[in-house]
Amino acid sequence: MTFLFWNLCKNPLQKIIARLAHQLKIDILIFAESDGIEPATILKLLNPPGTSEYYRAPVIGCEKLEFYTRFASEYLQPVFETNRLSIRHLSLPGTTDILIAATHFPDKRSMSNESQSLEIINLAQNIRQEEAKMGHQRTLLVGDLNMNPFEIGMIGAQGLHAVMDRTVAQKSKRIVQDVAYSYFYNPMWSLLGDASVGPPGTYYYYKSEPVLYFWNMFDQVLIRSELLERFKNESLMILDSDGDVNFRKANGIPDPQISDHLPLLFKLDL
Amino acid sequence: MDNLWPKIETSQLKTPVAILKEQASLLGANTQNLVTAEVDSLPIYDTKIPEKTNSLPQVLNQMNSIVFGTKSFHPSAIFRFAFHLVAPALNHYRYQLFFIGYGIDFYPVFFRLDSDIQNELVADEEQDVIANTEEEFLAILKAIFNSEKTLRVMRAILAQSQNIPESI
Repeated sequence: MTFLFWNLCKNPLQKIIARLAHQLKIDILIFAESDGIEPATILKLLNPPGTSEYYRAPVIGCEKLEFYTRFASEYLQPVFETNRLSIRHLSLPGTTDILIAATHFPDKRSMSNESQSLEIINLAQNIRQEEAKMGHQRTLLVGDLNMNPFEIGMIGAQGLHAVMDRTVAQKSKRIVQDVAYSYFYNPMWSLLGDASVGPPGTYYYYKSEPVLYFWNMFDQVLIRSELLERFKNESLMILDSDGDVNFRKANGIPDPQISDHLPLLFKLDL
Repeated sequence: MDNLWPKIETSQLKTPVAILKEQASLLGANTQNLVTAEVDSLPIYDTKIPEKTNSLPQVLNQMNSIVFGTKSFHPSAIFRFAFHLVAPALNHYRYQLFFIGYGIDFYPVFFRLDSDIQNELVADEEQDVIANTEEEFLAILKAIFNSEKTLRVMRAILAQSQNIPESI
């Protein structure tokens, strides 16, 4: 199962998306800030005349995220939503069912780092509740988290508890002050910086201030221990081209004419 | 032995959560039970009170921050509830519309709204939404229930449930 997540920066990227979807045979496309594209427009390009591969998953309450699937959308049912979080149950016949949580988390213009770290606790709690209802933790969380992998909200046990090491994540949970907290594995750590495969991050930001990372890894996918054996790190990529169009400018930073965020591509063996 | 306890009169006031639950129970009648509502009691938090805290207000402030995120609730807001729209025909899909928090005096009730509803109802995104009386509480609830975002979610649920009554 191949996934793509992209914050589209409200740009009309339907042609690029269709090219990526067809070339990479993407099964589930998830978009944030997709206001620049009418669903009918993108579906027309995703489904050339005579085909009906792709479907738009119905939107109920979370209007900040869009899902398109290469199978009937009835197999990707929403189970819980807030205006910034959509948790969906993927139950394709013949495959292992999983929970897909997607978010477009509040950005650093509207929330301080500290506030983000507290706010993410609500999101983590919502995921845990749905996992408890579903009776398993075959869950992935993907989206524009507007935090870097090393920030407290990403790391903290009460937050996403997302660790950089698969071996640690495989232990499933950790007890802190008598309470057990499940891990997420965060493979984005391995893509940080310029010595990694692909771009150094997914989002570039410059401001004349003392502390500045330049590249940020705001777009992330996190995977629970129960799904780890179905995920291979090599399948995870930050894309910077669709083969025709470069998503980065000549100086290497994301081209805002395309999007200020680069897309994530990854696979799960379901 | 003398009973040293005073006579305790129960309050005639309805608790905010009783009002919420009453309203939740009324929604189904308007939607042929295709959209219902639920009120969940929120756990204070699923961890122990940190050992190195100095005072109850500090602890409550911390917990309020944890449960409600960035919207700081008054430390007295120890009772907390979340209001969800529910779609029984869609595997009990739930949409979280808002939280409330209040203390032993019931009022004020502090709201934390879905940000789309907050933007609709309050000009200043950062402004706290607080009900100081039952009348104000009912007025805010009515505004939330009649907000465009709430109606959009209900319409979407009805459409997904493949049965759209004309009244909505």
